Amino acid sequence: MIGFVFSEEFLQRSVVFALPILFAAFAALISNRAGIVNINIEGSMSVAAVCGTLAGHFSGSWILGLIVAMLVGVGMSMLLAGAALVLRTDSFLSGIALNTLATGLSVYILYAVLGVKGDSSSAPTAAIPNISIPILRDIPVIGKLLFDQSLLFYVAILCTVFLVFLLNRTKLGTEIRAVGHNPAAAESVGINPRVVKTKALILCGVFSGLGGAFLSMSYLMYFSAGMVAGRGFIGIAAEAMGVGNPVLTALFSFLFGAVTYFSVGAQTVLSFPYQILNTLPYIMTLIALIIYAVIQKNKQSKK
Amino acid sequence: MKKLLSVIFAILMMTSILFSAVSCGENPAGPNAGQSQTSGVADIHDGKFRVALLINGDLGDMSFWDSANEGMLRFQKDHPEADVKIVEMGSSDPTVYESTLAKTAAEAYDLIIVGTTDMREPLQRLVKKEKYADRRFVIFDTEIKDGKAADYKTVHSIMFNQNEGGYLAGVLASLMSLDAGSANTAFIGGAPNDIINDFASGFMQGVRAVNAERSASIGAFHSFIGDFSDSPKGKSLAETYYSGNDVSVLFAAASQAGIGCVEAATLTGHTIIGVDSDQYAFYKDSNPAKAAAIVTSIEKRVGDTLYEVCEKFMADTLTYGDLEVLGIKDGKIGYVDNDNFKALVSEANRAYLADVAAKIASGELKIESGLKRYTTSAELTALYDSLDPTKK
Repeated sequence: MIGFVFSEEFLQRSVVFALPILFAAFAALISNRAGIVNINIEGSMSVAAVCGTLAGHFSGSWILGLIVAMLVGVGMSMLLAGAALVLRTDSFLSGIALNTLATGLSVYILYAVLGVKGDSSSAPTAAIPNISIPILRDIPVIGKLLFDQSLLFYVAILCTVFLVFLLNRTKLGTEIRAVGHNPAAAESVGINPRVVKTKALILCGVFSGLGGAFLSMSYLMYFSAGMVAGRGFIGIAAEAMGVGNPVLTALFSFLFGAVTYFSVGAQTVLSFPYQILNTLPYIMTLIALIIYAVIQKNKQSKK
Repeated sequence: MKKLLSVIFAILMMTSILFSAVSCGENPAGPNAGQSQTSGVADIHDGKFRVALLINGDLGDMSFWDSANEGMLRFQKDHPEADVKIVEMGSSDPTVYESTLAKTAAEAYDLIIVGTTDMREPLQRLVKKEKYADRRFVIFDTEIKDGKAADYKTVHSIMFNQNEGGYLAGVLASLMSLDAGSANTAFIGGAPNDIINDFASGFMQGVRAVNAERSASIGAFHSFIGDFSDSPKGKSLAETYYSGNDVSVLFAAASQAGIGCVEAATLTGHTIIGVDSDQYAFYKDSNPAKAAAIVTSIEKRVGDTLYEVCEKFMADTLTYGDLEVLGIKDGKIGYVDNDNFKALVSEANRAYLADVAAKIASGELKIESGLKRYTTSAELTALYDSLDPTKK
């Protein structure tokens, strides 16, 4: 079992499971930092996944598919922006409504375009390429992890750097943090919180789109109804664990990915009841949130 | 401006509800001919045969429900005088099952067909009501109540011997593994429910039988995805078997999530045995690479079964208050003998498999059931463990 956990394959596949969670977590991060809760990441990923894969199939270009997925992600975010920022509805309730919309909409799009309701495996998409660097990929243990991955793995690393930079070194980042921290104070110095929140939601949509595209254009070449399978929500948990810090969030996403893969992969090496294995990612979420709550409480009592 | 946006948003929300309804395919409109206002239950004695199939899942699974759907559509085509309605209730909201069933029963349907264990309790409650006494019901893939079919005088129960199908898959997988020099094969199920366990149990018995006869020791993994829709997880599981565990052919009974396993087989250049419908035929034209990885599919011919049920009903030969068990001998369980099967499986192995199927059909070979009413979970686990490479 130890050998399994430290195997090259384990690391590489954990990343595969971590990537959609990571993009979801970044989507949650940027909107949370701007003070708007978006729980529709799951739904955005699902609609982006189906649109991206279909665009990739019909155009034959993965670049176009990826762009479509990101645009659709932004579109879904804008629905939330319209509801929560323009109409001032409760963003949480609107998010729930949008998730319901997305469940139906994704299958509806599939049905409208292909006439099937289950999956688009009869229309495989143009896949987002894998980047495999010769020689470097043969480095033991970390070679395949770092140098033989989907293009989106490298995009994810860039996104982490980008987020750190954005939040700490740019005007927009400062505005986002200010608005998230205290909208009234931000407004008093001439920042329009709604504009800032909308910008954050656009980024949130881009990340959701990337997460969806990874599932339906990189890991699998097709969309299947229900394929997001809670990854959007696990991403939100990872973001909570990472307390809004991009690097920590990325690390926790990787941990969640590893636990998820462990629950799958361990079935092949361990004789352990599968039912318990399958609950691991959720138990892990619970434990993580408990630790998080305890830390927060300690902080407060020290004040 | 704000008012306008509110209106737009309200419309959006309405569409959202509409979309979910459309994607579930639920169509509440039905024949209300002769609906009696007093009891709320329509009169069915108008000389027209109306049948409804309620699907408590999603179409597009390329296996179980698609097969059922296809059978009913074929029946409608061959019998234009009948009125066939198919209601897709979806898998996401089980709370609509009971109300949809009651609604359908109140309309003028002579025969209402439902399937799987999820529909047992709603149907049990419904048929107890006197006002539906002239309706007839068929429940397939389960018995209305274990061992109690006779108590439900208007219900015909149909079960399938999927253990026989699993057995064929097990025999084929181990024969192919022997030829390929692979040490192991594997079974991947959606979730460990009764039906999937029956498949798995048959599969293990098939592997065991080949091992005994060829004095081989092919190992057989078993694992479950956890649901029937997480295809990325299905792909990952299959990939792990193919790439790291010396498996060259496996059997996946996991509906849509199983399509992820097919993808893994395609990418790693291995083969897979499909389930329920002829999955090779689905991909033959649209995705030849994927089709080529599917050796054969273990068919559970739900569509043919429902077709015959409707014909029997029209001929007034369908019986009620009983349980019918269908298997290889009835032609309702089998494997697909197509071009790809001929290309991938040696002639000797094909003959061997055909012989096994014939022996099961004649009753010479009896496959033990994996259903919990016949087998305890301890026995089942012991069977799985006896072949599990991680336990060796």
